[in-house]
Amino acid sequence: MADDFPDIEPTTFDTIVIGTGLQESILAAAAASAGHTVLHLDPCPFYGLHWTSLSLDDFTAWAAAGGRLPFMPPGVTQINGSAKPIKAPDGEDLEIEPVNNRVLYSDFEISSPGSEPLGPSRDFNLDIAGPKLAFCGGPLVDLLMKAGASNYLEFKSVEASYIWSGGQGLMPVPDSRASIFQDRTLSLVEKRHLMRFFKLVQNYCNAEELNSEVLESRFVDFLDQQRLPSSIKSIILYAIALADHDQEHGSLEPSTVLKTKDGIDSLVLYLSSIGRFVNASGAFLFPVYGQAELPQAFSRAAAVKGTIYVLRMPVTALLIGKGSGIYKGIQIASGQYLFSHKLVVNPSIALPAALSSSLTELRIGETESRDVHESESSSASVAVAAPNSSLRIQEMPCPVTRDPFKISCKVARSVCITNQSLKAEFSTLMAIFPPRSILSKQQTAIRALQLGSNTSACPRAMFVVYFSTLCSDIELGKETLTAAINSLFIHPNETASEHDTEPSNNANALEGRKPTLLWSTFFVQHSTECSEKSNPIAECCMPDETLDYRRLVMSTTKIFQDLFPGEELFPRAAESEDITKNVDDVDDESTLLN
Amino acid sequence: MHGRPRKSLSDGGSQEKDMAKAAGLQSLQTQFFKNHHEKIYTKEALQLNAKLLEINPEIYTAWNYRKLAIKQLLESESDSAVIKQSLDEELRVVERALKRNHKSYGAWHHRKWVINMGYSSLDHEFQLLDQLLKADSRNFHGWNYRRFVADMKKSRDEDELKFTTKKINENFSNYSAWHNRSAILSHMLKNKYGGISAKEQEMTEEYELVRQALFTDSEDQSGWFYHLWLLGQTIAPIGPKLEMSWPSNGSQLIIDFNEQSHAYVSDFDTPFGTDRCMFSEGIPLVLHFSEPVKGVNASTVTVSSLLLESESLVWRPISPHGLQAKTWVTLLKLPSTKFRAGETYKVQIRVADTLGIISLNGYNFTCPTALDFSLDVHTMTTIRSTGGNSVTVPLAWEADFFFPLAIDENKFPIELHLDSLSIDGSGNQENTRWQQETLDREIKVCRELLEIEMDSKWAKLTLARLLIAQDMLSGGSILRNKRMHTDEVLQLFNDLIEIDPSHAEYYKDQFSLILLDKVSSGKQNLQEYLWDSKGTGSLSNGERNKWLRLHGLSLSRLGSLEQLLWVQRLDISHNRLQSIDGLEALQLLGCLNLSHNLLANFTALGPLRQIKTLRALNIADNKIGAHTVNSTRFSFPSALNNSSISNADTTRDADEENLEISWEITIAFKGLHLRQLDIAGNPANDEKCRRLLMKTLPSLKWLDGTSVN
Repeated sequence: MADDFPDIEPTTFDTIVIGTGLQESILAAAAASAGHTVLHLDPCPFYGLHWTSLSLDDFTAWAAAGGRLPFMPPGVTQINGSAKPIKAPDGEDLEIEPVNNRVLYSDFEISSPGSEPLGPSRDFNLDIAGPKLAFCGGPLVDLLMKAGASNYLEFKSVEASYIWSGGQGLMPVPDSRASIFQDRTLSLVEKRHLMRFFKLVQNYCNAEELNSEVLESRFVDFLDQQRLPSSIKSIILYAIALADHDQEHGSLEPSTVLKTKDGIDSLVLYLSSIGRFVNASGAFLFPVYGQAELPQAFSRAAAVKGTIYVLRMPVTALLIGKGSGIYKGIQIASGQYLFSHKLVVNPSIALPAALSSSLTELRIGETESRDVHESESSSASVAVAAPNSSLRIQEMPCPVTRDPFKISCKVARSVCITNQSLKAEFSTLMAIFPPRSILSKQQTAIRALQLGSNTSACPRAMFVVYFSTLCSDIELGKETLTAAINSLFIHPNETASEHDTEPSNNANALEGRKPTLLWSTFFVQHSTECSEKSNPIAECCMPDETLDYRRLVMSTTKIFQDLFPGEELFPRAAESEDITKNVDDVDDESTLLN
Repeated sequence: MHGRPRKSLSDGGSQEKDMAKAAGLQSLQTQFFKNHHEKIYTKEALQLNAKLLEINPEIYTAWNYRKLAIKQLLESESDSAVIKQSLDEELRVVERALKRNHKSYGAWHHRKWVINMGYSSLDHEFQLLDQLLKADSRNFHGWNYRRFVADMKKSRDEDELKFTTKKINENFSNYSAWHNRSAILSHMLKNKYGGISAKEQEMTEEYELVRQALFTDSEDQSGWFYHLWLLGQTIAPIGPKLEMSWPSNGSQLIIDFNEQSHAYVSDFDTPFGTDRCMFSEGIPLVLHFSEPVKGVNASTVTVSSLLLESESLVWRPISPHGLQAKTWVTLLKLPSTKFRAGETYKVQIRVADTLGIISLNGYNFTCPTALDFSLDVHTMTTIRSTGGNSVTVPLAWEADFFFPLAIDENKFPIELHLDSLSIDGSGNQENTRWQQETLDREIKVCRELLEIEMDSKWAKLTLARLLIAQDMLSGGSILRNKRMHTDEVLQLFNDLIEIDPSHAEYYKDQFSLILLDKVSSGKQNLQEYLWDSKGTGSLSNGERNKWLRLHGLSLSRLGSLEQLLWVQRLDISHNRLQSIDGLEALQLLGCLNLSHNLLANFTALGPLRQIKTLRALNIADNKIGAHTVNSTRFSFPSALNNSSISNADTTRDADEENLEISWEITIAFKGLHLRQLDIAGNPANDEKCRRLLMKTLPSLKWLDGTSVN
């Protein structure tokens, strides 16, 4: 292998980043912009890793491989035969700790009910972490601008937002002054209450009139106090504040309760996002060519600041000081040793126990994570075919951690391709299925995002719809997503006559036909949490279950501050002579959108 | 682009840069004026001009120069392709100028002028407008221009309406869009929909639309203004109406003559029971219309009676200027020789048998109305004259001399006389069910909103207006006893004064109007304002005088005066009046107490000049002279614009500093036959002023209670 790759020069960096996921790319760009030397590696031939967007063929291959990305080494690592002792630049003898990769996806199911071909594979850019959207006024957009990464991106705004109501199908979400005005499903009094509430919320935030007791209370109780009708309550909770869990029924675990403070923060962000950009109609933005554009844009910003990029380069081992037990560097697939003070790793990499700083937390962690680990390792072992004498099985005791999967939760995702838009007048739209709206046992909200060809997610006359829901039980997750998909689309083998015999479909027939489902994939993605302590090794996390990037930016900021204490993430001043240009870009808001 | 700070015009350049720019502009301007002066319209000259306009589109002369150049081209050029080419160039110049300032009147006007030539593509104009209104949806120039182009293009009203709907859906805080809507709808309703039901449906949908705006943002005024327009359209009477007359329909006047053949007319149909009035020249006939009209004359109003002499009656508009007035008067001469005691003479008035009475807005008076009254000649020469010049005591204004009028209920001959003017012509429009339903619904909606938004001034004001409209509609202006909501409306205006102090004066005016409406709307309500005076003064005629006393009511405006045509003595002292506009309708008024008000100058007394019967006037303790009218700034009656005052009216010897006050006094009093005037307690009341007053009013006997000689 060593012959295939020229050596990387130099060999010592301040920071090495493994994986070009969104969080890793932001960190690389931030570190480079703060003046640190950075080496950024990725095993895949493309950017994005768990945030990538794939062509139809690649996506199918990825699903067929059980979620293993190309060039990603299997869950066991080849150990170099030579046991030549190596030294760190400071002279310390080093130990080679092989790196293990883990697969964080499971339960793939692909079906292509449509018999006709879908068109050129390259015309599709399918996100593997969809649906995700950025708030116009949210922290990711701020970060993009500060990093100068917005220059490399083009966005489309989500034109409309709907909420599923069992009896009436998709109803528009009255989320702005203009949409409340146009809405004809709310009564006049409801409109007034809703607008009053929006204003109240904005004022509360500004004046901080609410005392801490109220802020810590349940948001649903706060909404009750505002005398909002239950239909509006549900809209606010799930379609605007974007709550995941059922807030209204049954007893909630404390962790799933939406607090008033967080609810209000979400609402304020949502409302202030509307109208931030003159040419964006709603609160959300989606990058043209798919989500992978985001990490790629940050990577480009990092490259501009001097980061060295090497793709198709897996990492095989970590180099640990023999005496100190401290991280010193890595060995890459070419066999070269590279040294750095700090290391940022993507969530696929399972760190040796001694290095995983969050290990202690995990041992306290829920028993659930262990279950996942077991199911995961069994599925991973399926992927490990053709045992080889030079391979060491992952389950061997030392030095690999016994519990490398810091799984916090599971997200059921589905990608669908359809032949027409859910609403004729829009192509980019969002739909929310509140808890219990589609199945009585549905405990979490389902989110759906439809993209048309204008976002380059798919060819003309087709639409991609991403679904996701948080699930504790995989079967239930699958069942609810299937129910949501079936409520929106028809399968091509269902003939028209079958529909006519169903009286309940008459209403839909009046509205026009439902889109036909041409292709769909279901899978479960396991989320991870970032390490608690991120120095010298920071572990990045998987795409989380939320719709937007707030949690991601928050944890990225924390990691950066751990890695580089006292330094700011993308300080304004660091932009030096470029500052005027960038300020112009920010002011000329139209440049962000097209 | 509301609420956005205006960017500094200098783009951050240094002072030298600005100086250089100014110098460049100046030289351009000099060259341009030179070209203009020498009538040079070459290509280079036009380019120079375009450059100038691009920097500063506000130079109107530069636009006019371009128009001249085009005119010259049109005269010399016959090839339409060449003309089109240069007109297209004009449009480009305008576009560049509008980029500099998209609200430049000159540029917009020039564009209209060019488009009007008919060479340019109107579709292209629409495309540009779409872009402009997308960038700035409230640019009224853009909307104006859109109407202009739509008109030229003969676009369908429905399409234009759809466009405004789209803009309103994007952001309903858009006056321009709502206004355009009202303009289009007016046009549609006028031209296309003869059928009432189509109009009603259209209007109902508009109410529905604007209601969404009112509930979405109850503080946004654009929706409320549109709602007000809709309300106006809903209840607007089509064309003027005859509201009241004196003598009122069906009334019976009793005439006595004194030895000088002066007629004493007793009107039994006043709330006093009877009120007697002396007319030396004849009985006035007063017609009061709902809005100013013109064309009241012997051919549009026919008066038939045996008493009538051969020559036709001359109707006089009661208005300081012009031929339009709400009130029209003629004198029915009463030659005593024609009368015989005990006889009853019928007088019949028919209004608008033929077309010709036209309102200010051009609407025809279209409901022919007939009314009649009778004159009973009671006695001849039985009343001894005590009035006139022989009386030596001035009228007492003081409250001590007044006693509440003792009304003998039985003496009211016809209970409803005041309430039933019954000029109920066949042409009177029936109140449609739809109007009632609309008002009921809108009142309900307003109340619903007020339950949530307790302090919404717009909801309160609109509710008040709706309630007033409902009262008007259910009662007409005729059956006054159907005022259901007066007290609620007064309370609403009281609330509004509290919650919206910056518009308190407007609310106080409205309050005054409603209060006056309430007071004048029936005998029961009037009763507490009717007084008897024991005076033996100049106008007492030896009898007890009956007064209408509306004093101390905090009135700031006068209204409902058509209900008070019969009033001869009026006390509106101790109010907050700054103007007495409308008072001229009271053509029988003899005594008027205006003391303790806020009248600030003599000009404000202008309406009095129209009341020829006025004999005693009290304007003491006002602010007259505190604030003179600058006649060069306002179109108030003044020496310069008032044709009703001839040069001869001016006091020739008025010195320079008194010229203004001299004019004011002339405007207010010239031609009046006041015998008594009380003016103490006003800033203007000095020696010179008094001298001028005496000169203007030769009939004056008492000034401030002292005899004038």
